[in-house]
Amino acid sequence: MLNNMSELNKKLENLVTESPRSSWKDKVEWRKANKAWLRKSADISLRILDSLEDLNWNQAKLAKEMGVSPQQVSKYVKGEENFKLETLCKLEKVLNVELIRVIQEDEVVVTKEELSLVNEGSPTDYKKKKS
Amino acid sequence: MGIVRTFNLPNTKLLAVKFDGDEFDALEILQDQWTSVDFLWGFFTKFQKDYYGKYGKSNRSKLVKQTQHLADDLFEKLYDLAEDVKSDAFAEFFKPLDNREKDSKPYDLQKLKAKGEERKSFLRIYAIRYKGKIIVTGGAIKLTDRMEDRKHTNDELKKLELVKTFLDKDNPDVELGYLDVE
Repeated sequence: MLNNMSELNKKLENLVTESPRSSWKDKVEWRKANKAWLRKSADISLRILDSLEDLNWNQAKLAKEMGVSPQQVSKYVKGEENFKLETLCKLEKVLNVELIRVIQEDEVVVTKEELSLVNEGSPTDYKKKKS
Repeated sequence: MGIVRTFNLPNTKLLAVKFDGDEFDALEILQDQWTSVDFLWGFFTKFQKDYYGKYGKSNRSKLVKQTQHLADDLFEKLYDLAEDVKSDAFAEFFKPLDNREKDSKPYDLQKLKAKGEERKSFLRIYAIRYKGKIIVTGGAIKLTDRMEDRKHTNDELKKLELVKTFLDKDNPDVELGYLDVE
């Protein structure tokens, strides 16, 4: 039995040393270091997928409309694309949807849930619920 | 079938299976899928009802983002634990799969407990333990109680068995435990 155990251990060691190292570690490090923009990229990918569904388009149709390869569209919807503003503007035009917006000084972002609270109650109630 | 290292460290404990025909090893495949918006969108489109049945209604986009965040947290934790080769915490991070699956009552209780938490963990990494080493065979977004309930989770059971047989064929007496991490 002990001999068997040592043979199995040796077999495992041989298997491991003969193989290249996984790239998993590098990808974990990369995602951790780039987390802030990756989260924004994922948000954009989700809006693109939403729009494709609304339009009843597939990714090949988007590639054709954008004049890019299907592989490029795959990157757009994976959530790891560091988009250029030029690309985003073209996507917005093709999909007829707003993908990013820079909030101006006199503007605020209100969610639909918050908006319904405003419409249901008085401004005072809204402030109470917000706090 | 091959087994690859995840760290170039002496006494590294975290290994992953690379199945014949796959471009990447099992851990890298999981990471690629669980951080891909497109993959998760497709998954939750297909299995949205499973999620609703277990956790209640939710918005698909929110589910995709939640899964991405859970996956990043899970992989970062696994990374930190595996990097510290002297710590025992790494081995404790994985729990026996059999114990989880054979007794449904604790699992139900666990589910109820999870409902009170902000983040519900449905991500599973499956692995085999051998002499302090953890060999990852795959993983799943598990939305049903039993692995046999869906093909994608049942396939993970088959992969575990395949790897166990592969490692164990010359040593049928050696006990290899299935592991399940959430």
